[in-house]
Amino acid sequence: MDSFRNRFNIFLIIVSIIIALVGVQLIRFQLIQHVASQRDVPELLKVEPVARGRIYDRNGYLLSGDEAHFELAYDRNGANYERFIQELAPTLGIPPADILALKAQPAILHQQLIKDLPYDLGNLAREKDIWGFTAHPYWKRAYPESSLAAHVLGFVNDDRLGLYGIEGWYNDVLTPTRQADGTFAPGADVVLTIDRNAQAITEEELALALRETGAESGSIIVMNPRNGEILAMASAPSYDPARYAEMAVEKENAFVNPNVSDIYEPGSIFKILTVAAALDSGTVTRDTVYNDTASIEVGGQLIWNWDRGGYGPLDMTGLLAKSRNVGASILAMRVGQQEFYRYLRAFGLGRPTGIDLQHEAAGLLITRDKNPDRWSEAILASNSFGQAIATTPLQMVTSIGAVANDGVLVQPHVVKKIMRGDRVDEAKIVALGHPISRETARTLSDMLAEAVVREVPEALVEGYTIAGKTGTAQIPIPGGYDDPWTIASFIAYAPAHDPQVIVLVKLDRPTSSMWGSETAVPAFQRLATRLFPVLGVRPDSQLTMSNEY
Amino acid sequence: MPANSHNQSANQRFTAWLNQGLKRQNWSVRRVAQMGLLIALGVVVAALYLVQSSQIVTSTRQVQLLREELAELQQANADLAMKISLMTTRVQLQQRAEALGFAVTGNLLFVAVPHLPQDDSPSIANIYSSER
Repeated sequence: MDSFRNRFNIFLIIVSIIIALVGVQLIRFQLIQHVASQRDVPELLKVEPVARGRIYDRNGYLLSGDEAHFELAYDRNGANYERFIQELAPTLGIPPADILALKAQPAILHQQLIKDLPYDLGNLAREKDIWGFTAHPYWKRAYPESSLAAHVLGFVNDDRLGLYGIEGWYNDVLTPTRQADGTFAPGADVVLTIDRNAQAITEEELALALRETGAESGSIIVMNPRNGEILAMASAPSYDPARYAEMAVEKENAFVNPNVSDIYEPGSIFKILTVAAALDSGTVTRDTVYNDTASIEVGGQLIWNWDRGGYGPLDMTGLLAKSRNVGASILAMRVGQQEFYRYLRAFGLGRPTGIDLQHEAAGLLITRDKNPDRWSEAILASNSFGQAIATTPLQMVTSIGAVANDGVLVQPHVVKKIMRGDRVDEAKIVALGHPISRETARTLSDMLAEAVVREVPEALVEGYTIAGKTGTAQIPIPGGYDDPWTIASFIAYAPAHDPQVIVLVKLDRPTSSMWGSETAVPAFQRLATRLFPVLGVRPDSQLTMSNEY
Repeated sequence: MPANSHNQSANQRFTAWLNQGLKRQNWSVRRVAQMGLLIALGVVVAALYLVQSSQIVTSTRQVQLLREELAELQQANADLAMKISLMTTRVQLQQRAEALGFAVTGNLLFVAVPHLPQDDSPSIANIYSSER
């Protein structure tokens, strides 16, 4: 009996161990390795079950969003061809003979029949549920406004990766995120500071300016100097983000936003900053008079006025109105290189503005401190009128925007808010510094408004005071400048004494005229006339009543 | 051959060992109860496992179906949102306005009214000034 009991107990122990082992394995396979195996699914096989976040303009109009498209596939063996021919083929526009020919194809499971079916047709195919034919949905990026603000938006490639612009910068925000339980949280929606109507008007006027002046390319930025919101940002030539692949073949760097990525010598619009530094440092007042000669020698180099002439005694407003290179050089020399470059750095030059767009360039600022071997007094003089220095168009708008904004430099931005479910994150106004005092800024605004009335009345828009400055910059190439080509520009803000909008118009290599006053100024005037009412910029009523200009 | 015979003999030895034990047992009530309890326990565990498994499978399928339905609804919503957007594009609105007899404005005329109360209606300018 003892022997039997022992053997029976041993049998029970063995059976118990087997059951325990089976139990352990069940837990391991069903709970632990099951989750692990989900994580190991190759990235390419994962399908986002929820859409990427949408991009809206500041008024809630959709600029970029996902729509469901379908891929129709079939399994050759056992597919119900007859029903497909009767119920779907006519709607999809497929001849019955083509469907019957599928029977002769190699027996491959899940063979693609149609790619990129729009939602209505794809959903119909899914609802029909014909044996052997499967409609697989997938997300595809769509842009209802077509190419509007393409350089700001960027695009989403076939791998669902956002590239360039907002799609690139905010790719992580827009992309659905996988959660711990394996499900996906939808991508956040992004609301831009861009106004759809302002953007469209800006693009239309830029296109017109290019046609009228023969310029090969151009850019316009419209910003609120008070808070750094970009209201419109246009570049031409542009592209259709829905057809990015074609453009990638046609033109190199087609997707790069010239407003934030391309650097250029800004030319005479830079004199605003030179005069700002001179006024703010106390070197001059608005009434200070200097002797304007045709040229001046600085560091062994002759600096000429653009017209090779001199006006004799000229005050600071005259310097700006007549755009005197000699006068600007004298101011920079009087301010002194150390103080002058301190002001330029305070205006944000030589570093990115920090705008929320991809591939922003820092520009180029040669100073004696950092580049002693390259710097000279001639460079300082050239810098004073916007040569031997490289900035992006956005840097110019931001820095001169500080003059419009009572001396406060504000970081530009294109996203107004980010919405994830019920949570809304509003963009904050970021002050980057206070390069000049409020008094200096207001004095300079007065001077710029007067300069516009005196020298470029073509820029004026009825009912508004406009503070502005023209620019005609040579284009640097290795070994010198690419004569006779220029970059013609005009930067202005309005109303001059309560600025709500600052606009930079930049035209590259115009053929009708090389001067900013004859190319960029008319473009600005047409743009501002249409733009100000759309943006709700109210006219200066006093001037309208007294009709001062 | 020696290894095979060794295996066979091992199997035979185990069978003989078990048969011998079973033959020699006198199947007392206690022993039967023990065996019955063991079998009942196995059946209960198996039943519980099967019930739980079937519930998990059913729930998983339900969740899967609901997720598919959710995905289909999201696709339909995205399609509707896109259709609305396409119907309210700037070009579409302009065409619609022109069809209704509206025309693009020419020069705007602003009339300055002295002592006009501040306009509090929503405008970007007002929003900006309030943000400041």
